[in-house]
Amino acid sequence: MLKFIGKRLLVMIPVLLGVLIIVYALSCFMPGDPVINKLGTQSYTQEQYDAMEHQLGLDQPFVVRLGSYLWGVVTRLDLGESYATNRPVTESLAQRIGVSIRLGLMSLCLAALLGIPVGIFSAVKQNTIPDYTITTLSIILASLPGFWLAMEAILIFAAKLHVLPASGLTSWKHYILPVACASMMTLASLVRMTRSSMLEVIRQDYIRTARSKGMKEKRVIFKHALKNALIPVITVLGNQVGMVVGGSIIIETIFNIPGMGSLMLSAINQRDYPVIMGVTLVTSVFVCVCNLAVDLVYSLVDPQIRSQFTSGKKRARKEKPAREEAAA
Amino acid sequence: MKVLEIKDLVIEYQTMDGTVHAVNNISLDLDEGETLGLVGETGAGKTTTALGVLRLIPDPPGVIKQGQILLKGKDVMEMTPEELRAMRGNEISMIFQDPMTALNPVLTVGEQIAEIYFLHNDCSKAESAAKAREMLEMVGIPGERADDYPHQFSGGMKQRVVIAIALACQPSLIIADEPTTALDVTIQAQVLDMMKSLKDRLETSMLLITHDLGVVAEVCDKVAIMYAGEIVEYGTLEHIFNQTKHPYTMGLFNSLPSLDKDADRLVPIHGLMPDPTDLPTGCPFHPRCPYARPECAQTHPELTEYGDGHLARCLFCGEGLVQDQAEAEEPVQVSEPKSSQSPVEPEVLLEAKHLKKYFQTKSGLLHAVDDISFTIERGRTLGVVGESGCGKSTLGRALIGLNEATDGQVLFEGKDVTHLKGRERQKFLTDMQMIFQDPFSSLDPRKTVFEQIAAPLRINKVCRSKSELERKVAELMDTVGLARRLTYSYPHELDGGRRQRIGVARALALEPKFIVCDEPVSALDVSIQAQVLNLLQDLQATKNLTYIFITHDLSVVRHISDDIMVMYVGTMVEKCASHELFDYPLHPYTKGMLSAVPIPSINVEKKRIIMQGELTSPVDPKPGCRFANRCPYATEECRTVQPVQEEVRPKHFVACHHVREINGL
Amino acid sequence: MSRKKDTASGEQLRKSSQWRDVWIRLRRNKLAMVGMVIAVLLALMAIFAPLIAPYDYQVQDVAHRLQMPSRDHLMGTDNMGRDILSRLIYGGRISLLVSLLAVIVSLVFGGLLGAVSGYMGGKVDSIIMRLMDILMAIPGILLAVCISAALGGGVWQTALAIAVAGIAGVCRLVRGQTLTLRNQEYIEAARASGSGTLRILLSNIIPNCLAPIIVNTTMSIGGNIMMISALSFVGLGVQPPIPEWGAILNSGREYVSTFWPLITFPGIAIALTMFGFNVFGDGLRDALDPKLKQ
Repeated sequence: MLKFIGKRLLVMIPVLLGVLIIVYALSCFMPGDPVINKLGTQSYTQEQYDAMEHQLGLDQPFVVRLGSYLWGVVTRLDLGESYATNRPVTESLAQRIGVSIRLGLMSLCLAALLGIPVGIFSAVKQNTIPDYTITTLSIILASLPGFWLAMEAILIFAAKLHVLPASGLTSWKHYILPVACASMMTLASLVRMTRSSMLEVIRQDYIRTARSKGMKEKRVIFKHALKNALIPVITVLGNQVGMVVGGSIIIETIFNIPGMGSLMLSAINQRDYPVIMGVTLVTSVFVCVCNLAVDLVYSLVDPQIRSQFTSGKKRARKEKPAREEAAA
Repeated sequence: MKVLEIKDLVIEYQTMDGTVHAVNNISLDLDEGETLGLVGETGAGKTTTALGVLRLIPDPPGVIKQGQILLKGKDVMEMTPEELRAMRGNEISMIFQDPMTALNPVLTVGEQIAEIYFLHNDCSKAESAAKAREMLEMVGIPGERADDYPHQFSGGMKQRVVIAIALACQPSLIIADEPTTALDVTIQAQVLDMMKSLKDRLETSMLLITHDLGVVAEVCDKVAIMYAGEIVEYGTLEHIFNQTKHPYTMGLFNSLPSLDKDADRLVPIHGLMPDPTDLPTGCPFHPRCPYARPECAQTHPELTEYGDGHLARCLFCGEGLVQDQAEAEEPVQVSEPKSSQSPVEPEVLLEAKHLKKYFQTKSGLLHAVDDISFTIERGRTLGVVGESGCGKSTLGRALIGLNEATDGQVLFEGKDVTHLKGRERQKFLTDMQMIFQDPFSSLDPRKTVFEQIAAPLRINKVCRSKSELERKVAELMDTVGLARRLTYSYPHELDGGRRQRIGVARALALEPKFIVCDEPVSALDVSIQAQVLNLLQDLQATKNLTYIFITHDLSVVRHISDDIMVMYVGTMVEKCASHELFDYPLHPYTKGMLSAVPIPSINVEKKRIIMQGELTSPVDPKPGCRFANRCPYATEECRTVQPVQEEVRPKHFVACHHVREINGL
Repeated sequence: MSRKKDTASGEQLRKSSQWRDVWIRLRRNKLAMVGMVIAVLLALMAIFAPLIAPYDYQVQDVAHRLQMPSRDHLMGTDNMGRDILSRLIYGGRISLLVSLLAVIVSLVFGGLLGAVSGYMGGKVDSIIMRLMDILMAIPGILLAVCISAALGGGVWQTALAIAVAGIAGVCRLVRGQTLTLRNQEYIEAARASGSGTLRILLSNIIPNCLAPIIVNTTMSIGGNIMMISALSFVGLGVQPPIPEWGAILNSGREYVSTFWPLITFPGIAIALTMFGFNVFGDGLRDALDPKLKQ
C-alpha cells in the first residue's frame, strides 16, 4: 500500500512540472508589461527600463527563465517574488492557503456526505413522490452556477433577512453561505450519479442471487448493492474536485474572503506572473492530492483494485487469457 | 410427497411493444429426490418459470397472472413477505447461469456463503463462517480460500461457490438455471458430477433448466420440453429420448450434430421461435412444424397423455408421426460429395510452420500459441478444438494476420504471408477471410445489412458502379439465404442466425479460397446452429472452400471437419482424421475430453474419466508437458521435457511421452 | 427476454430506423422535450435578437438608472439606465456563440486525440494521456482564467480558453469509448476485410462513439455558458460594451443588497439555459442507451 502511494506521488511530479511549464508559458503571453507595471510610471528612461528588466530577469531567453524558475521551485520551494509587493510568493500564499483549502474541503465533504445518502434514498424509493422531488430538485440545483447562488444568498440571507453575514470569515456563521454555494452543484450531480448507479447495480445478477437467499430488502441494498454502486460515484467525485476548488475560488471573491481567489484575481489584473503561477501550482497540488485520496478510497471499496495494490503480480493470473489476448 | 407442484402458471411482461406472454399455463410437479429437466431454446420461458417459483419476477414489468405454486402443499402465491423470505434460500435455492456475474464482486466468497446460513439459522457469526468453510470443502475448494474475493477464482470455481451457497441450508429444492452452460466441457463434467453426488447425499430435488439434451440425459429423471412458454412434451427420460412424440422434440434431436454417428446434413427446424408478444393462433409450433395440417392453425392442442405419464401437446402425434427425411431448409445448392473424395492429388493450400504467438502481459509472457505446425489441403476442413484459453482463437487470428505471429511462418499457396503489410496484405485478404464468433458483436451496430456486406467490396474496389455493388450484395444475400427485404435492416433487428449469415456473406464477398471460422455457431440455439452449419457445408461444396473451424464443441467439430487438431494451453496434443480421433483417441487429454461430453442419448453406456484440476496458466509456462498436472499417467519426464509430436498411427500425430504404453501400442 | 424482440415487426422497418427509434423514445420523455424547447427558443432568440429586443442594448439613460421592473422595462434598467431585458437577449447571443465555438473546438481536438490515443495505444497513448493528466490537474475554471488572461478579451479568445479547458474531458471520454470498441469483433472484422487504421477510425469507431459524444456535447454547451459567465464575472473573457450574462451579473455586485433585478434576471437566464441543456442531454442519454430499450 505504501509502495502504491509512493508510486503515485512520483507520478505527480511530471504532472506538476507540466502544469508549471504551461502556466509559465501562458503568463508570458499575457498582455501588459510587468516592467512598466513595476516602474509604476509611464515616464522612464531606456536605462531605467533595462535595469528593471534585468532586475526581474526578463531580459533572458524564455527557456533560461523557465529553467531557473523551475530550478528554484524544485530545490528551494521558491515561487519567486511578487512583482506587486516584492514579497516572496510563498509568503502571501502561506497566509491565504489555509482558508481556501478549508473552504474547498468543507464543500467537498458537504457534497459527498449529503449527496451520496440522498442519492441512495432516492434510488431505494424509486418512482415515489420523495424520489420525484429529489430528482427534480437535483436537476434544478445542478443548473445553478455557484457564483450566482452566492449573490442571491447574500441578497436573501444577508441583505433581506439579516440572518447570516455576507462577507469576511470570522465566525462559523461565515462559512455557511460560501460552503453551501460552492458545493451545491457538485452535491446535485452526486445525488443524480449515486441514484443512477444504485439503480444500475440493482439490476445486476448478484443482486438477484442475494434476493434468492431470502434476505430483507434493506440488507440487499446496504450489504450487497451499496459498495458496488459507490465505485462509479467515487470516480465522479474525483473528477469534481477541480470543479469545486475552482468554483470556491470565485466564490471567495464574492464573500470577500481573504483566500487564494482574491489573490489570484488581483494578480491577474496587475500581471503579477509569479503569483498567478503560484496559485495555480498550489491548487493543482491540492487537486492531485485529493485525487490520490479518492484512489485510496477506491481500494477500500473495490477488492480487485485492492489486490492490485498489495500484490501486483499474484493476481491477474486467473484472469481469462482471452481478455489479455484481446487487449494485446 | 410432492415437493413442488405448479398448476396453470401464467406469467406476462408488460413492455412498450405489448404484452410478452412468457409463460402460458404451465403445470408440472416434482417428487422428493427427483430431478426434472426443463428444456427449451432461448426465449422458451424457462428462466421466467424458475424465477416465478421463487416469486422473484421483477415487478414491474412482470406479473404472475394466474396459477398456483405449491411448495410441499403450501401455496407460494399466498405467502406473506416474511414467509417468502424464510422460504427463499432455505426451502428453495437457486443456482444461476453465469457464475461470473452471480457473485457479488465486493464480498468474500466466505461471507456470501455464511450469509445464507446466518439468515436462516439461529447461529453466531463464527458458526456461520465455519459452515461456509465446510461448504467450500464440500464443493472441493480448500476452506482457507473463504477469505478470497470472487475475482480470484476461475469460472468453474465460481460456479462451485454458487453451488455451495445454494446447498448451505440443505434446501428441499434446488433450481439450477443452466448451471454449466458457461463452463468448459471438462469443468462441466466435474461440476455436474459433483452436483449429482451432493444432491443424492442431501436428498434434494432439483429443477434443472438447460438447453443441452446431453446434460439432461445424464442428470435428469424426468423431462419437460418447453416451447413458446408452454410445455409441449413431458415424460421420463425413456419417453422423451426413445419414444419421442412431439414434432418439436424430434426437431431438437435432429438438429443436433452427433458424436457417434456421421451424418452428411443436419435437419434443422425451419424458421424462428415466434414473437412472444404476438403468438400464432392454434398450436404455437405450427408455422415451423413439418407435419402441420390446416387444423393446427385453428385449434390449440391440449396436453394429452400417451400412456404412463407421457404427455404431449400435439393434435396428431397420437397417430404416430413418422420421421420422414423431413427436408431441411432449402439447400442452397444440391450438396455434392466432398471434394476430398475427388481423384485429384490433394494440394496443400495453407501451411503453418512452428507458429508462435506470445503476448506481453503484466504478469509475464503469455504463450498463447506455442510452436504449432500443420497443413490444410484445398477443399478440406481442419477442426481445431480445445477449452477456453487454449489459444485456438489466437491461432486463427495469427493465420489471417489479425495478430501478427511472434515467430514461425504461415505459407499460403506456398507464399509466406506471415508479415504482410499494406497493399500486399490487402491483396492476400481477398483470398483469406474470417467468420467471427459472436454474431452480436461482430457486426457494426450502426450499419445496415447492405453496408456490412458491401464494406469489403468497397475497400477493395471490386465493383465499378453502384448498381454493380447492389447486384453483388443481392447475390451474396441470396447465397447465404438472407431475404432481400432485409437489405436495409440493422443488425439489432435480426436474430442470431440471420446475423451470422451476414457474417458469412461478408466473408464470402471477396470470393476467398480459405475461411477461418472462429466458433461461428457457439452463440446460436441448436436449431439455428444446424441451419448455419448446413450453409457452411453447402458453400464449401459449391465453391471449393477450405475451412479452419475453431470450436469448443466436439460434436460440431466432428460433424463438419475432415481432420481435427486438439489444442491444450497453446500446444497441439493430437491431430488426425476426424473419425480416427473419435474412434481411437490416443492422448490422455483427448480421451478425458471426449468422455466428458454429455451425450444426448440414454442408450449408450459410457465410461467417464473425470479430469481433476484446471488448465495450467499459459503465462511463462514451465518446461514439460502442459497437461502433466492433470494427467493420471504423468511421470518426472513429463514435468521436465516437452513432448514432441510423432506419428503414432498412420497420419495420426500425438504429442505425449507415454502414448504407446498408455494405449498398448 | 423482451429485449430480444427482433422478429417480424422489426424487419419491415427500413432505412434510418435507428435514429427514428431514438426520436420516438426522446419524445416520450417530457422533461427532455422541455429542455429541447428551451434550447430551441434560446437559439431563436439569439438569431433574431434585433427583432425581439425592445430597446437598443447600448443606449444609456442615466436619468432612468436602476429602475425596478415596469411596463416600459420588463426587467428594469441597469446602473447605466440600459434596458436589462434587451441586454440579456443580446447577451444570449454572445453566450451561445462562444459556447458553441468552444464546444466545436474541444470536440474536434479532444475527439481526435482521444480516438488516436485509444486506438493506437502504446507510446502514443501514454504521451497523450500524460498531457491530458496535466490539463486535468489544473481546475478547468483556473485554466480558462489563465488562458483568457494571456490571450485577452474577445469572442475567439474566450472560446479558445474555454475549449482548451474542455479538451481533456472529451479526450478521455472518446478514448474510453474507443478502447471498448477496439476489442469489438466488428473492428477485427473490418481489419480482416482490409480496412486501414484511418478508415476504421472514421467509418467504424467514430460513428459508434457518437451517442456519448452527442450527450457530452449537449451538456457541455450548458456548462460552457456557465464558464463564460464566470470569466466575465471576474472581469475576463468577452469585454464590455458587448453584453454578456456574467458581465451583467458582475455589474450588479455593487448593488447586491439594494437592487435585485440586476442579479436575479441574468442569473435566471444562465440557470435556465444550463437547465435546458442538462435535461435535454439527460433525455438524449436515455434515448440513445440501447439497454433501456425494453
